[in-house]
Amino acid sequence: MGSALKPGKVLVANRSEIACRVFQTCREMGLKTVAVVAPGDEEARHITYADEVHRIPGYLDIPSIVEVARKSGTTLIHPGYGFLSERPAFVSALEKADIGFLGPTAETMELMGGKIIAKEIATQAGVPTLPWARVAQGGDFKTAAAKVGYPLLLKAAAGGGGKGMRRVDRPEDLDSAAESAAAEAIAAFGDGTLFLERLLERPRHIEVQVFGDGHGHGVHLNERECSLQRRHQKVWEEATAPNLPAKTREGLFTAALNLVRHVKYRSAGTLEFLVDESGEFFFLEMNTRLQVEHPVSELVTGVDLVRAQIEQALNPKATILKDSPSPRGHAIEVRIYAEDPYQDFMPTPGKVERVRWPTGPGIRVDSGIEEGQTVGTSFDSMLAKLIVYAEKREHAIARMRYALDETVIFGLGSNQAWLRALCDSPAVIEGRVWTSWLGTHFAQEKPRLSASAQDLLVAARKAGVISQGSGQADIGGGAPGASSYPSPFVRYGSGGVQ
Amino acid sequence: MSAKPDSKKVAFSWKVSGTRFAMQEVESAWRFEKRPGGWVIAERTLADGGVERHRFQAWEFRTRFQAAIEGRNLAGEVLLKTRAGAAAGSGDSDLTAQFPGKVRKILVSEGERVAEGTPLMLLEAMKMEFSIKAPFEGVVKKLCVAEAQQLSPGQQLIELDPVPAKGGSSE
Repeated sequence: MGSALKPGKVLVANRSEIACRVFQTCREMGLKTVAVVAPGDEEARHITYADEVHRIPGYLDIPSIVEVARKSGTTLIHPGYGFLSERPAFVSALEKADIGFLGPTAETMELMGGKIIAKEIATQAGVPTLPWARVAQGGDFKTAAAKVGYPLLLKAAAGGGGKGMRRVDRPEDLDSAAESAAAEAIAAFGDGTLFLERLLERPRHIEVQVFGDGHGHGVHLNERECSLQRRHQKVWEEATAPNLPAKTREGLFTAALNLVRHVKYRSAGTLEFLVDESGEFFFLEMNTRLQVEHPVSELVTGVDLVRAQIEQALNPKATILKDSPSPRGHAIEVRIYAEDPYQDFMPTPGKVERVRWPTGPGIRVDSGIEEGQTVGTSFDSMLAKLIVYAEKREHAIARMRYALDETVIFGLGSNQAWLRALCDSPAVIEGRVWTSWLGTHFAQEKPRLSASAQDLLVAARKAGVISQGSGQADIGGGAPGASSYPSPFVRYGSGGVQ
Repeated sequence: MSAKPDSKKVAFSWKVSGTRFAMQEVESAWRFEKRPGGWVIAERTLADGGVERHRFQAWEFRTRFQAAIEGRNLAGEVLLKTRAGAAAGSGDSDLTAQFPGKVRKILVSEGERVAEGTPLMLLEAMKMEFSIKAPFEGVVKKLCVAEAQQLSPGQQLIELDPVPAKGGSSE
């Protein structure tokens, strides 16, 4: 279908690494690119990637983005993930303005993006779901919770990404959990409606990447395992899932494709499932967008999902992906965040003084940072995604160790050492983890440094072979040289003394 | 905690994520070679005649010291005053806002005695909630912020008086 491509201009209504990733494919396809930038984000990497850049008041500002699209002659908009990527109002606005959207229709998004309707549709399509209830802010949580049963999970009815999620084990914990979950939901999405759902013990998070042509034909691009999460934020994702019974895998694919066909899904999407210890699975929700962890599926299938999205949008009547591609090899992604896992995952903002990414076979880096850039706290703290691909899973893990060893990010703290420790965990190596495993079985790890390395660093400091900082690393407008400069490495909490 | 006698001299103390490494003075003969790209090669000859070799990167700015070595990227703070034992000194920085945010909830009141690890307040930043825990056992001397208050980096959150240990000295 590539020959039918019309010239187009793609605007990415997003920032940082995902905007760069979409721009890469656009550039490869010879499409012009438009970036937007919100106040406070002027140093972000995506700005230099596009052919033109426009200032907008914020990444959630629909009228401004539509206006920029009109002004610039944009023909297609990619929403990335987060921000407006799952807002039907945004897609409706684009449909009215006759601007193409790289995703599903507003109608499908409304249906599948709503956790509740999505569950009802899943039930219609014969896909099992967990008991659930929806309660408006200030509503009767007690009755709803009793119906759902304990333990249960509270989450924001709008949005995703782990915002506003709380586990509740007993009725007496319900009120305070609902209060703080609603506050977080309002802060993140402007809607305090909460969703209650029964919680499985030790479930795995398995999701199926799908792609539809909008007319009822759909394919799956195999599954991803995303069980390594903390506070429901994924940190390590794989394709395909290790130790997954063939029957479960087949069931997941069939269920996913039933749903895709049922709603005549268009473009890329993901169906999230929980899989219990017996291999039984339950539909959680559908993400009607490209996901953070899409690279692992791209690596094992050889499909460029963004290219497929663009080709589908440019050829709306065609079926871009005709068959479900078989997976080959194994891919793993880790998310490098500016946070300190050893101190309650406190943000560790600062100026990026040095970046060295790994090179070599089977390594992909989707980076959102540049040397010299200041990473603040106004935007997501993900610095980059490190993705490896190898023929076998154990080789992929070994490759991830190598890739992390070669990665150098100086000037601010990150979870890099913690991710490296994950690569050595027997449970991770054997693929025996579940969604709460990171929080309950791994968090107690402490940073380590061998006697030999300690010795070496003392000597290196004395010998003057340690690089010195630029002196411009202040954040929050602090004047260089100010003695009150807060170190990003000193954190509160968890017994900082001794 | 009892102050250990200084059997070996501590060159500097390196606090990484709440873990303090006492970096001891050494006599060993490391040979260093600075390489392009920021890499440093370190070698030393061992007693058995073998050579120990490391490849690493390290960076230092003001009190911040960071090293990528042995597959670990460790970001920490150099504490130049290597006073043995006592909690004093680092306590304050643990109770200071390190990033812009908002006070969501204060969980203790002035005069209250708290054990190490007790949650003192909840902060909100990047649409997430974080708890500030007592870095040591103490008495809440003063709450320096109010609920819903916006925080700027470096702002003191709370003053905590350490509970004097038996015969403890406060400095």
